[in-house]
Amino acid sequence: MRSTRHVDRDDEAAEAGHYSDPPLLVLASLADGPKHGHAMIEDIVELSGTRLGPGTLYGAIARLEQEGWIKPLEPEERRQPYKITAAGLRVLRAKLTTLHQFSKTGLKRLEAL
Amino acid sequence: MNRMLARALVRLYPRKWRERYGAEFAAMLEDRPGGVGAVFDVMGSALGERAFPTMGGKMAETSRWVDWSKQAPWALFGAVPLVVLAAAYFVALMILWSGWRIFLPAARTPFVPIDGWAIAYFGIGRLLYFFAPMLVGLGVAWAATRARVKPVWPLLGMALIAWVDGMAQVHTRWPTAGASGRVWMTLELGHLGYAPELLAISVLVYMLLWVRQKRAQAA
Repeated sequence: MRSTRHVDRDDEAAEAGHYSDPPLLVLASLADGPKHGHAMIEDIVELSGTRLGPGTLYGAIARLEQEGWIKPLEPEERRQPYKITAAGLRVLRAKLTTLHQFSKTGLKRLEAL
Repeated sequence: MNRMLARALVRLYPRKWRERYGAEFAAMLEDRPGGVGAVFDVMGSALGERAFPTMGGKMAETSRWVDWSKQAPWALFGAVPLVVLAAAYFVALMILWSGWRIFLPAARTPFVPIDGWAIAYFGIGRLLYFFAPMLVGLGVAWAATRARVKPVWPLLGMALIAWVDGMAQVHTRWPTAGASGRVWMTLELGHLGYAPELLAISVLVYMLLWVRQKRAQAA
């Protein structure tokens, strides 16, 4: 049986492992195909374990659209899907490459401990 | 989320933001569970959008006070902050006077060691007295950044607030048979107090906000 302390530690580690950079999470979600807000929130939960609040999500969407990194598609009833643009894909690739290098180096250092 | 609540939350955003995203955002809010966390998240985002509009202001609405900042900057950055500071000082003095009457009726002055609820009561007055000038100065910095005015008037306003803060002195008078105790404030010319520190903090925050805005515009 798992002790309460163990569960707390797991939760703590899971919580600390969440990645929360809303614009990057939105770009990563849209890399899989166009989505509307509700679908993005659920996809980001699966992708990173982070549940973005609706205000945070639309704050990121507004900024990404202004940057030209995502664009709206034809509305589906009241829902508004978005797709990532070519510029958005370049930005996403660059950011993820940097993160990959960072995590590789960081994990290597942890292994040495 | 309840439709009325969703619409009320959308109304917290600036008009231009609502015109672009309002309908789809309201639809998404209605599709999702409306917990307290979601409500606070939207409130925080709406506040952020008002303070730092998307793309450095393209989605900000031109409010009446922004127009005032161009037509009567002396009012927005001088008179209004002074009135707000005077009101804060008035409330702080009322707290001091009423606390003296309630908690220390036998004391010759309210500036004596206190305990229990008196600490909290007088503490609110002290917080107001010490931090109101700083908050007003920061408010001037924020308003000036939003209105994008030339820095002359906001800097004069911040200097004025800092100067008044430095000059302000609180006095009390022990109640006598003929008159009740009094609490009042005077402005002593030449007394600087913490005015330089307060001015430095306000100007520093103003510069940081200004740089942040320039960067957002350049992006």
